[in-house]
Amino acid sequence: MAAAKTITVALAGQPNVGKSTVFNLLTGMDQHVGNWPGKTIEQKTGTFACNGTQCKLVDLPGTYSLSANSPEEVIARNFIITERPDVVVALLDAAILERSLYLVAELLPLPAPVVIALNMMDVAEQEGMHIEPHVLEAALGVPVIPMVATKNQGTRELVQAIDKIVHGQAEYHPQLPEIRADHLEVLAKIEALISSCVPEPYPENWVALKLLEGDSEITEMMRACTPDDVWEQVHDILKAHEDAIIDVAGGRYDWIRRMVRAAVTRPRAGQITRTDRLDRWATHPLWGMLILAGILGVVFWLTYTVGAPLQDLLDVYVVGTAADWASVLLVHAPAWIRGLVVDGIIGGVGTVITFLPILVIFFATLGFLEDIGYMARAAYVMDRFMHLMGLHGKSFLPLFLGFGCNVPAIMGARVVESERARLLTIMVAPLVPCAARMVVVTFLAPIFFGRAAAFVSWGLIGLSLAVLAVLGILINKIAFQGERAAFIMELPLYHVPNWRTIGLLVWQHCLAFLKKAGTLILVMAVIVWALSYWPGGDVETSFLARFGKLLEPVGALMGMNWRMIVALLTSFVAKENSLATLGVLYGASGEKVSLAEAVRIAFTPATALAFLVVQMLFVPCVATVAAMWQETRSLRWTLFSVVLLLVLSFGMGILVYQVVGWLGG
Amino acid sequence: MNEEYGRLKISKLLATRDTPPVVAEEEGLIRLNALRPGDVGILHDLTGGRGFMCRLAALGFTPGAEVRMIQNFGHGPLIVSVHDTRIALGRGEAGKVRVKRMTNYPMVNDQLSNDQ
Repeated sequence: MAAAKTITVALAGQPNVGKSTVFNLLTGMDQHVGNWPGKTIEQKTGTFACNGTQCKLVDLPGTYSLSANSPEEVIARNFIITERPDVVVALLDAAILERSLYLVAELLPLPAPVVIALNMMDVAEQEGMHIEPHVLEAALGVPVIPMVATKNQGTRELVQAIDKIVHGQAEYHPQLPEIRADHLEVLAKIEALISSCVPEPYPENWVALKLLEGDSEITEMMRACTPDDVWEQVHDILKAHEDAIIDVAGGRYDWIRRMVRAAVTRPRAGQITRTDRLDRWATHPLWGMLILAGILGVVFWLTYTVGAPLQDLLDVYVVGTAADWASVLLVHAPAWIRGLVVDGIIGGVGTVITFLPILVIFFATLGFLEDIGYMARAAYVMDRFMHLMGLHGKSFLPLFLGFGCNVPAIMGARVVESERARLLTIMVAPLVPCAARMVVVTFLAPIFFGRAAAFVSWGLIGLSLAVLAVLGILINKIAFQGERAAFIMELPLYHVPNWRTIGLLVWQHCLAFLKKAGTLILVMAVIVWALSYWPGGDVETSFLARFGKLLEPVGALMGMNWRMIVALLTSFVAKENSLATLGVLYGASGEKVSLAEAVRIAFTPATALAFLVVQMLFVPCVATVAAMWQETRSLRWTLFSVVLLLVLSFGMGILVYQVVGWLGG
Repeated sequence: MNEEYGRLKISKLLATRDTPPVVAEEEGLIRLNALRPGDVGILHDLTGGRGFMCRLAALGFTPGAEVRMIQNFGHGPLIVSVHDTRIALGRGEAGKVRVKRMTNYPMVNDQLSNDQ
């Protein structure tokens, strides 16, 4: 009897099996990206039509197994156990069938029917493997649907299979993995002991198996639910079998071997695949790095030849035109409304819009490299160095994007799998010297240091990176007990990119940025404008100026006056603003002096150096802070970062000024 | 004590596998990070924290599994192939895995697929 309630389908699968592609195929644009409640892990939900009924599709985090070792696995298994989806679709990579089935071995004992979608059949054929889906189906006792998601093959059959299972019309006799003989007794003992204590809705035999495996979450749960004397007995049994997990895993692989034997014919030994050939270079200690450097070079070349001109075009034709129109329309309005609209609102929106070309290029590149499978190689090559800072190799690429703009660096940190490493990456990302900061440096350095300007610029970059490394090590030691996730990483096969997936990814990331960061930037731009306008309609007497004067004692330690401090403060909205503000504050003197001249008169070289140091290490721009907040989901960490960088930048600035003064005699 | 237990586990394992015993020359136990590129090792045991062992076991690093060394430059991370997947491991991590190096080892996979 077809129920009128919504049918919920969970989509499970290991990383790199093409889950996003299948999810996008089924839901199209009907998807919503959010977070799992209380976590920083992305949750995608969507709807698709299944023989007339609307079905809800929930994308479970990609995991290799369902242990308690990572929040992703716990989320995935708890969803199935507590939310009881009507079907779980297990997406497998046909070219890595055996290992992919490990997740199925963990899914089958759970209380939801499983449909297997055997994806990447084309890749398996290319690698020389021939698989018979119906033989596999007969062996496993669950529906097996062959698919080539990148070509949209098999989607309809999958939907039909889901429909049949939900309505009880499919053949469903799952062959559950058996436990090895020597563990059967132990398992039975545990089950008998905990029998009446297992809370709903957890399945008893599954809980017993997890206890045997040493699962921390289930162990905690049962310790609380079981009377002490019973728990002691359970605990004694578990202690006697502390490494049972290895046997349990081995047992699952034995089961997998039996299931797969009839269904798969393999290639001859020694057949060299395309992936092998490419990896000879891509993972080579030397060539791998050169290839990576080359790829990064291409990314930056793209940014400067395509991105920067687009930014200028947007700035002039979109933002500039809007500003002109507004000025004309509001010519009779009071000055402050004109200021608010033109400088505050349009200025703020303009900043957001000009970010877009760079963001699109970076997200597209990151998405492309991840989709073809190259990201893992880049992470492998760089891990050696990243690990010195307590980071994971996968952190390298997002951090590198920070040289262009910190925002995609922070948003790109999503590729890092461990939550801890992701947080650490986000914390150090603002210290990567972004292009906007370099604009300020390349303007000011030549004025004060002449031919030494290049030397100073590189020195500043080096300083930023050194501080980044130290900060990374310190935060890792203090906040994360110096733990470093073990370096275990799958290198997926290379495959042809799926443009649709990449396109959708870029779209979603940009949209998320516009919504969160965009609003914040706009608000901050208006506030900063207001502070620089009121009360007198003039910057010199504004609240911002007064605030700068308040901070003069600190600035004096670096030889800075309130104008320079205010310039630094306005770089909060956008880094280049410090130049614009200096222009306003020094140009307001009425004399026809270029900014360069005015600055040369006002600063001493030591002060200029201190100014640049503070600029480089300063609180990141609003867009970056917004991205940090969005990605960490934690106001605490975001504020910590802001305060830390504020203190750090001023501290280093003062230090540099004093050292230079002391050296100069 | 653990060695004994380990060896017992292995022989039990091999006995319950329904494939004909492999005739090959065996060598002693070595750490995985000492396996040369191109060589195959049969996994003997793992050490380390439970989380670490669980992760490796789920990826296919179980006693009796066939591990083929793809890349090992003697320093830095290395790449192995287990159950058709290429896995990159840190040097220290690979050191926690012990294998028996097999020489003249026929492809177990071929055997399996040929005797249906």
